[in-house]
Amino acid sequence: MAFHTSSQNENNNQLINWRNIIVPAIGTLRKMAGTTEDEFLQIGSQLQSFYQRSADISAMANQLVSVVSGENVSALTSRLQQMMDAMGDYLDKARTRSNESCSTLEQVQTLLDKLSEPLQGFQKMNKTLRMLSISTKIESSRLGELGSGFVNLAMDVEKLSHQVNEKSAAILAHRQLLATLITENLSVVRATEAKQDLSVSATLKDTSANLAELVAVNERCTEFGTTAAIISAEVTDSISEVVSSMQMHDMTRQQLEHVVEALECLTSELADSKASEMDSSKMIVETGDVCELQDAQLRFAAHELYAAVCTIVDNLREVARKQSVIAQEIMTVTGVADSDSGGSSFVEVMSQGMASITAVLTACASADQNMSATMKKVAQTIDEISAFVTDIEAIGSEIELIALNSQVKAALTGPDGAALGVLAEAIKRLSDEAVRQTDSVGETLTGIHAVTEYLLADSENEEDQLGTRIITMQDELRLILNTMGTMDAEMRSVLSGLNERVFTLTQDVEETTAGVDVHERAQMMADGVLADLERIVTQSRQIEPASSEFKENLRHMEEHYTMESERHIHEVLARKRSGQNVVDVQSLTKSSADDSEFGDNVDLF
Amino acid sequence: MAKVIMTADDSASVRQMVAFTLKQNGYEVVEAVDGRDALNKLNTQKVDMLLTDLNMPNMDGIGLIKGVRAGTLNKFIPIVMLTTESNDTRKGEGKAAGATGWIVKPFKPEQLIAVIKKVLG
Repeated sequence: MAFHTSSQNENNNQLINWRNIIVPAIGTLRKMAGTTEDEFLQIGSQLQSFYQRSADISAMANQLVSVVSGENVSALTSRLQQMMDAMGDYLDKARTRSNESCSTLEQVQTLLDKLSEPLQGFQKMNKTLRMLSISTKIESSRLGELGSGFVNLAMDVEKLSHQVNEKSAAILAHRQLLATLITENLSVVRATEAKQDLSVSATLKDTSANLAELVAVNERCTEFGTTAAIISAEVTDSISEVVSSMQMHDMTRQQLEHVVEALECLTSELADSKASEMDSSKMIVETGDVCELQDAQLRFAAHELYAAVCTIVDNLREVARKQSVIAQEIMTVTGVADSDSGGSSFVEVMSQGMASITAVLTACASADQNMSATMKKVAQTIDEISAFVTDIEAIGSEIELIALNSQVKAALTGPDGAALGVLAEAIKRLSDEAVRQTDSVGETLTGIHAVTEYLLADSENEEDQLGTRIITMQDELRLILNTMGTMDAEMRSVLSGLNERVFTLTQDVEETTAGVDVHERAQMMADGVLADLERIVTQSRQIEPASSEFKENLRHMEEHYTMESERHIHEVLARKRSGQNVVDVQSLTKSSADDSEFGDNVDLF
Repeated sequence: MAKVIMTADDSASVRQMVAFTLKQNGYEVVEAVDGRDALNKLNTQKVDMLLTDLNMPNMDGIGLIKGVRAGTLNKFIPIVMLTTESNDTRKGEGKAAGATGWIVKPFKPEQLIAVIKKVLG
């Protein structure tokens, strides 16, 4: 039986005490190594889904880009530009034609005013004819038998006065009708023009801006391909980081197992030392050495695990964030982000603009038809007036005949018929006046006729051409609008799906990562064990200072290592103990690696 | 037709990451939980390549390589070690047993795929 000094007894008690600390610490480490796997597997199973959904989002973004870029949209843009030019050209011509028509109508108005004087002349003629009729009747009555022939003459003159009155009244009525028609038409045309000018100007401006936006979108979408590729590569990098960090669980587990093995070996020695009465001082040194080394190994392993989980969480969130960036970017490049609060895209706005222009074109066509109808009506009325004037001309000829007849009869009557001669002279003057007035009216009517006939012929020609042109433009616009509508609908459908997918991906990533606390729990467990180990190291060094044979004492542990990091930690501590320069573990790990074609961790034999 | 690759590793999370990487790149994956499980499967199933861990229960990676090379069905397939072990002596043992290559964990997906493409030609 061996004798123990009081100091030896104290040391032995201390060793028992440390063993009692280490044994539960080993239990904690076993728990730590075992509890992390399920959570890593859970994240790993989500990764597959996140990756696939992320790839789907990228594919949808590319699909969206292809909808609003490429040759089809370029051709559409180019054709739209041509259409815009054609519309502008048409509207300019329509405006010119409208102005010409209005100017002509104003000319007609002025010319119609000139009819007033001859029409008054006709009324005067009518009065004179009636007076002459009465005078002729009186004179023939006075002459008795001699003037009997003048009675018929008087009746003819009276009849003519009625006819002149009737025809001039008809001309007056037609003139009035024409004036009203022209005034109304001018008023409508001017009002429509003002409205159209305002509308067309704004619509063309907006549509031009939207066309420019479509061109810009087309260019941006082409450029977006590069951005999407970069983001996609970044997402791949993030996934790669996650895959890499996910393996840290297995590596940490192995490191923990090595720490456990070392501590188990120590507890076994601590138990044996008491039974074998091993030198307690030596055991204290060894306990300090082992605990110091395992403290370093555990600290490193816990840190690696913590960093790996943080990397996993950060990169998964980064994947979701990148996809949100893609969604936001795609909304910007396709012009949807800049749309009004109503959510209408530039395509929709443009479609509305095009519809407005179509409406304006239709209104122009209608105005053209109205103007043409007015011109026809003017021409028709002028023709009718001309017919009346011809009638009046005929009346003038009749008056002339009557004048000649009355002159002959007056001469035959002799001196007693002198008064009738005077009347015959008056009738003759009236005939001349009728010719003069009808010439004046005829001249005016010829002027009106010339102007309206020219415009009518021109109008009919152009109406046919422009009518066909409008129908063609409307048909093509309809086609373009349909194409744009389909494009817009497809874009919105994909965008809606894209946003929904990004939203659910972000939500799911957030949900998955928010619940990840394995690193916190592992760190807490590690902190508890580290505190125990540090306490043991401190106490052991107080009893027996660290030996310079530290490395030698722990040499047997080196063969258990499988990882470079473990060997380096061991090396760092050994250098520290032997008074050599302390080198950072990370730098040792990096400097020892050989580069190869596939990376510094790959060797192909 | 997709190439079939077996991954043998006692860590479920590592098998999961290897399978994820391979499937994303169009490979079919057969999983084995240790060397013995892998060898049993390889005796009845033809694969194009084997990725194996070194330290596994029941049968380690070196034993597995020797077993595959001694067999017939998958005798000539490329075998790449995928392990935390970076010791040159162990690498030498792997090479001597018939390993085609050695990758130290953690691997990057693109790196693993590059190696696979290289060894599968």
